[in-house]
Amino acid sequence: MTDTNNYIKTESVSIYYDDICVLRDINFECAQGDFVSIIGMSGSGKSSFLNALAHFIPSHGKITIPSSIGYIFQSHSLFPWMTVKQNIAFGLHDLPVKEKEYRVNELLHRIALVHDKDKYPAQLSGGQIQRVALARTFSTNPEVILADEPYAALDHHTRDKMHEWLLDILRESKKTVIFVTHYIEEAIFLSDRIIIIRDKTFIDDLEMPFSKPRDPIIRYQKVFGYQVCHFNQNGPGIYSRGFLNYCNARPIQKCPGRSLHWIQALSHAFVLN
Amino acid sequence: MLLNRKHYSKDKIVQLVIKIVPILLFILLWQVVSSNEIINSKLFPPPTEVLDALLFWIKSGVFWVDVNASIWRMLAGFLIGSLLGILAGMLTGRFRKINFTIVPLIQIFRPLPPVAIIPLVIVWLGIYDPAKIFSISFAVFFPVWINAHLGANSIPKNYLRSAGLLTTSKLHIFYAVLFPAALPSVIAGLRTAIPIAFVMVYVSEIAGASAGLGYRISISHLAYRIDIMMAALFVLALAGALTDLLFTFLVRIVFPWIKFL
Repeated sequence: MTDTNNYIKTESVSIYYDDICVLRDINFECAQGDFVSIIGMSGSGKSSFLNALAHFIPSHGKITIPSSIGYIFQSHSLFPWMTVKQNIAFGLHDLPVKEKEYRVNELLHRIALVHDKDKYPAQLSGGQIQRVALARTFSTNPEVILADEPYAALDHHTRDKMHEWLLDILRESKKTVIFVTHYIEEAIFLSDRIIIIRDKTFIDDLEMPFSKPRDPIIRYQKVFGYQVCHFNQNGPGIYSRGFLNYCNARPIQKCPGRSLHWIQALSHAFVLN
Repeated sequence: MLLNRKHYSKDKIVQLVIKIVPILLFILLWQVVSSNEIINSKLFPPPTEVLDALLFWIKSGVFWVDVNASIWRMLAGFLIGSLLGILAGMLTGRFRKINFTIVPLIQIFRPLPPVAIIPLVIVWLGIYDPAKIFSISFAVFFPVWINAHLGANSIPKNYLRSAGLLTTSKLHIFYAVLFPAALPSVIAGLRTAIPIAFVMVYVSEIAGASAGLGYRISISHLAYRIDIMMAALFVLALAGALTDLLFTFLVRIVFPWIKFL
């Protein structure tokens, strides 16, 4: 974490939809280079917060955020009338042709879709679509990446792969990421901090005790715990049991003093809802 | 693979036969009923006579003059009406203020049967081509406008949001995102407008012309040449069907991605 702690900052931000309050009085700070996940149940306002950060929707209060933002959506993330190559090149139309070609090819290699560059999104799998969306988001080299449950519609295996693609592309560029998800494992694996939304506000802000850059192998160190976690996602209660199994598979004793607290808080966020 | 391809081509042949057989049966029935005087052949000449009339019409050299006149009018009216319709639809579909100010005005004119304005247009613009092209454009405008409006109005938010973050050029967003996203609706509107344009060609030529398919139908009625009238009707219908085919073909060539939407 860097010392510029208010790289992204919200002061008393509230969001209303037709006089119905979705989020109330949110004060949030994020340092440059941080990966912050926001988790909460469906309808808890996590996507609305992200939309307010991107100025897609109006909000009350003050939002400070760099102007150069990249956004990864869950659905309609690519333009279906453009090929993979055209999608990635969309934001680069101002560049000279050669430079554009070079940048697009570099990104195509990065996401390993060079041979599919002339395909349309409808001809790609869900994971490939999100890889192209990732490349397109990074094409303009934004300072902040906002991701709204980008991998929620993918199967577990593809989602894990996507996490690796994301971490790989982030390893060099050191972007600041705000990542909204309802998958606890995803949040823990990717983030430096996890924020929990409940009752229209941020109820907890937890630091993750894992080193950076994150090594994908940590997910497989205790295979059993990981599997239980994945196959028990049928309800809030089971969700947390899966989560506790997952946590038991991690070296918790090495965590700072807050470690027990974050396990409990994450569990409560879902059990008590 | 080869086996599959064989099956595929066999299916195609079967499909073609299924499509053609009812047409052939219809013509056969027509021939039998008419040439055996089951109904009055003067009022209902058999296909062979209609074909003779068509050949006579073609040989006389007037045929191409008629077809040329009608197609040219139709194309000019269709292009002007649809361009204005697309432009207006994109504007009213995307800009709330324009929507509020322009749409009530358009909605006043929309229920008007386009045929009903022809007498007024003749008074204003005379009986020559400008009047006909105006009438056709007027009729084409509304279906194209409403479809373009709906298309532009229902573009998924995420397309515009990602476009807005990736570029600041409004023009680039318009032609690379807004227009293609609304295109399926626009195309539906244009396809609806093609037969409407043909109706208007016919009606406006009846109201006064010296050449054209509508004109030919109109004067053959006066000369009691029902065979020529039927031949002209057949050509008018064929021109409409071919235009629709050509249109869908061009759409597939120019916008190959359309099948993925």
